[in-house]
Amino acid sequence: MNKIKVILSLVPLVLMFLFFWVPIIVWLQKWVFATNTISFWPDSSTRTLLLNTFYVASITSLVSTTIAHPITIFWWLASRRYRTILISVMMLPLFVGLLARNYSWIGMLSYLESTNISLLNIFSDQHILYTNFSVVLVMIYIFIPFAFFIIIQSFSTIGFAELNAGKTMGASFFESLHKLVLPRTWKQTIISILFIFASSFGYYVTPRMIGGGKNDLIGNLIWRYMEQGDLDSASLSALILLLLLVPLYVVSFILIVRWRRRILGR
Amino acid sequence: MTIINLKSPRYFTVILIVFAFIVSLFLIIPSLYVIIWSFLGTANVGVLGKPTVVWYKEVLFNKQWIYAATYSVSLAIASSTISTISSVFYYYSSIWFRNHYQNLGWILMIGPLFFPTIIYGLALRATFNANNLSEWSALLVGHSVLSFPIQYFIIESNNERLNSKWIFSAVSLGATHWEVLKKIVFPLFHYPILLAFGIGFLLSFDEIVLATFVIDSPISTIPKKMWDAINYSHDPTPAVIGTSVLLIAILCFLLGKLIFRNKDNGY
Repeated sequence: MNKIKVILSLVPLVLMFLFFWVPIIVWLQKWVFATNTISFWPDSSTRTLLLNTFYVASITSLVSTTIAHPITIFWWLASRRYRTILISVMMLPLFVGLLARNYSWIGMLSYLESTNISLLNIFSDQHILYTNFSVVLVMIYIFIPFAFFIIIQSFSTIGFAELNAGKTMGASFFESLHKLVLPRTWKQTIISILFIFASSFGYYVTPRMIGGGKNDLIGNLIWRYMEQGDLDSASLSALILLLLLVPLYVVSFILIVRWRRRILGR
Repeated sequence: MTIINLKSPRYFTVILIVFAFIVSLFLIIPSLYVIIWSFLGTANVGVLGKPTVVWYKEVLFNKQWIYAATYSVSLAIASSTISTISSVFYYYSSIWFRNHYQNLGWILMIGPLFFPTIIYGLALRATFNANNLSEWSALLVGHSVLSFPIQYFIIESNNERLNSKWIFSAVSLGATHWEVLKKIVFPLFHYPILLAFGIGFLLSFDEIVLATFVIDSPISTIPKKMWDAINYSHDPTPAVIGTSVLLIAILCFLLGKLIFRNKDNGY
């Protein structure tokens, strides 16, 4: 019976190692250690793209998480019916599909432009579509559900009994929220920010469709190289991306493991 | 009609409810536009016309779209099955093995979660395409890996359904691991497992990044086909597909609720 237990336990780990880490190692071995005449230091246009990517990814991750946090508090405080409604609202975009949602934003934003609504005067030349603003807006829309489902993990471990206990001891609702509840959610909040930052760093679908080719991120450059068959340059750009994200992985791993140990005891 | 369970200051409750409503509208409106666009769309995105089902006929009765849909569905079923079974095994093993096993699992899982998918796509291309392995196998592997962590979180978030002492008691009384899985774990976790399978299916069906990096042949998945059409077509085809998937998902959800209504003990 122990053999079966060991086999069952090893199957998922072996699959993850074989299916994910082996291809990554093969790719790294092929493009990093092979002879390469391309300079590792990115040129000025790549540096500009990296800066733009960093800017877009930072804003997307911070704003998505900031918006999702109070929504998660609402979910935590809400009755069962409204919890279900909120979960359904968060999952609805997942069913519709990424490309369809991007197209719908193109349709809605082009309609706003064509109707010449005066609010558009706030943005330069009444353009919303095919700008950095529209790319960030749509990416925030895409990542809010992700932030919600990550932060929800922390709230689901906090019971109302603690709030009630605080109230019994004389604390106000906000004191209990501020000192008992929110400190226990900051790790998941940071994990959410890091996850969305890492995901949006390699994004190219939304910048391509909503940015119109004028507001590319580093992911678009990698995709363009790949389309042209220039896998050397694509891999080099991807390697730069990977190296920039390594600290995130380390921090995320430590936060996730420590959070789980504290909450789940394992 | 109770919206908020706990007694909180009234103005805080109102602000929270209004904020949740506004964000919900922000999330719902684009999806509603997709449905409207599928029925009122013209050949130019953003321009709406009279109600028509011509785009549904274009997609649902077109051989190329049917082939792409068959490819996407079969890939999604296969990858979701592999990743769901793996995540159940990993969850079950985590009950028995702690610390080093779980830390190793997290190290292995952190990659698909935090590595940009674009890098994984390049890695799959370097491993599979360069060695003349089939595109289908690369996509199967890629989709299984990407779904695995999310499916594991779904199953694990329903931890309260299972007391690990039941498993230990069963095994100490002579039950095999297969009997424990069959008679304790699967009956208690049928809803999370089905949900995980459904989410894995949707993630695979909608996956575009790996498809664009791995697929070179004319046989492509639905998202890849839509992506290739971006440069020359802005018709409501994506909206038709999105609306169809949404409708099927709602039907599956209602069917699942109906089937498991009496068996699910209030969960």
